[in-house]
Amino acid sequence: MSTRENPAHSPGSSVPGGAEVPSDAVVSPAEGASGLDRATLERVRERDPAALGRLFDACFPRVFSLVHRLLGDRTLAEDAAAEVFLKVHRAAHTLDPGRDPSPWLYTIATNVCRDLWRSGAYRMSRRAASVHDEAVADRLSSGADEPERVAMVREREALVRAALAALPDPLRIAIVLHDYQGLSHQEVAGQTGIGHAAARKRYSRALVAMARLLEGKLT
Amino acid sequence: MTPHDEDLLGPGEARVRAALLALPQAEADAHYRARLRAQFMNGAFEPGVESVARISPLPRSAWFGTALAVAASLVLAVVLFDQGPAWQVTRVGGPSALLVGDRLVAIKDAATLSAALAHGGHVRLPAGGTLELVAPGSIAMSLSEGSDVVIPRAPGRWFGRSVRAEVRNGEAFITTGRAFHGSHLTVTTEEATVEVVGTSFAVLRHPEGTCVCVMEGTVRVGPIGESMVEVGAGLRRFCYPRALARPSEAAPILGYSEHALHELQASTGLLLER
Repeated sequence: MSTRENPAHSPGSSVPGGAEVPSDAVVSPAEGASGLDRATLERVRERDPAALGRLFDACFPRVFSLVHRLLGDRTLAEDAAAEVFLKVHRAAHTLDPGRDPSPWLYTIATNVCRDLWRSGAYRMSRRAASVHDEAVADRLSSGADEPERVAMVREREALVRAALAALPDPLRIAIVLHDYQGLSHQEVAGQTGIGHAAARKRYSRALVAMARLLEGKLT
Repeated sequence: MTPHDEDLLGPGEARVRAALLALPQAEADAHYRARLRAQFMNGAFEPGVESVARISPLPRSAWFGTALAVAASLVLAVVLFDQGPAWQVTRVGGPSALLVGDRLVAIKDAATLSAALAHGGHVRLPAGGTLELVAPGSIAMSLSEGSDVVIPRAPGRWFGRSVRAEVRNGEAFITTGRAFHGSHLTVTTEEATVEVVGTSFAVLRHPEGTCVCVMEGTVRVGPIGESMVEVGAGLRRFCYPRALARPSEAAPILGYSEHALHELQASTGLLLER
């Protein structure tokens, strides 16, 4: 589901524990990222199990990917995704069936991650490999032989993940929403409650910070 | 990101972005996904799903507020406990009233007088008036008739250990107690500065100049703006008015000063825990 072309929002949808979803760029839900029609979303509001199942199937991969990217930990991502769908279930009656529910879900997911970042559980789990691991960096830049290639790719990914996890939360959100969720800067701005220019600037700062963290470690 | 944005990326940022986009997407475990789907459809979530809300500590603003309140309480406690003892009037004599600041206080009203001078202040005694004050454990002061003296607050327990008195006119007899240890008293007159770290001494300020009599310990005395000299027990130093341009002189302690200081010590010894 690509949201870049479908920046639909639900002005009336209240986000549990978070900000109001912005109300610009209304499109038909059929055109939305979820691909769910209005009738299905009406039934979601009534918590019809079949409709909820369709909503889950349409949105779960993106939601899981989002929280996994933001949290950098599979176990935490599973906990967070479960909490997101619990909140969605509880707030289903506030869903606007005339709009694509994806931005609403992203906002809930981002808020759940923010809550987790503030919690002790997240800090305890932040044991990702350090980007300053000299041994890993040396091996990456030494041009190792073919048999080690797969391992090197894994290590490179680990470094990038660690650098992403090391970013301040707002910068990480900017990268994940823009590069992985495919949101435009305007949509990111709407999700995070900042202006368009600020969202662009934040994304740019995030890349600069990543580049600094990974300096000399990406060949 | 628009093509225009990508053009603006530096080589380092572009490489980072490529590395970010190359990261494989995380796939959820199939069993987990199926279980969560069933829970979502039925609204029957496992206990503990709302873990985030439970394990979330206080929001940052609450932490900040709590830290601020604790810091403020500590500062308040330090300020309160740091305060030295309040001055108490132990002896007062003479005609009807004396001036504390601009306020006339009846000599008979010792309670009001003590309250008015609890943390020091400017006191002016009339002819025939006398006043004896004690900051228990720390310092005692006796003022003779006609004195015009700025009494300092008593030194604090941890901070504000240096205090400053001023003898504008008249005679001040001063002795210190056990709690004064580590404090620093400076007495100034028009002609002289006297620095004290614990002793019994008198500062006699008259139109002819300032005489500093030391009964116990040592004080440092010097004409205003000039170097200080040490004055030991049993000695006095006389500083002349600047207009006379006469060097200060040393001599044995004045008998009546010594007597007055002995009297002050005897009178306040218990309160000063000497």
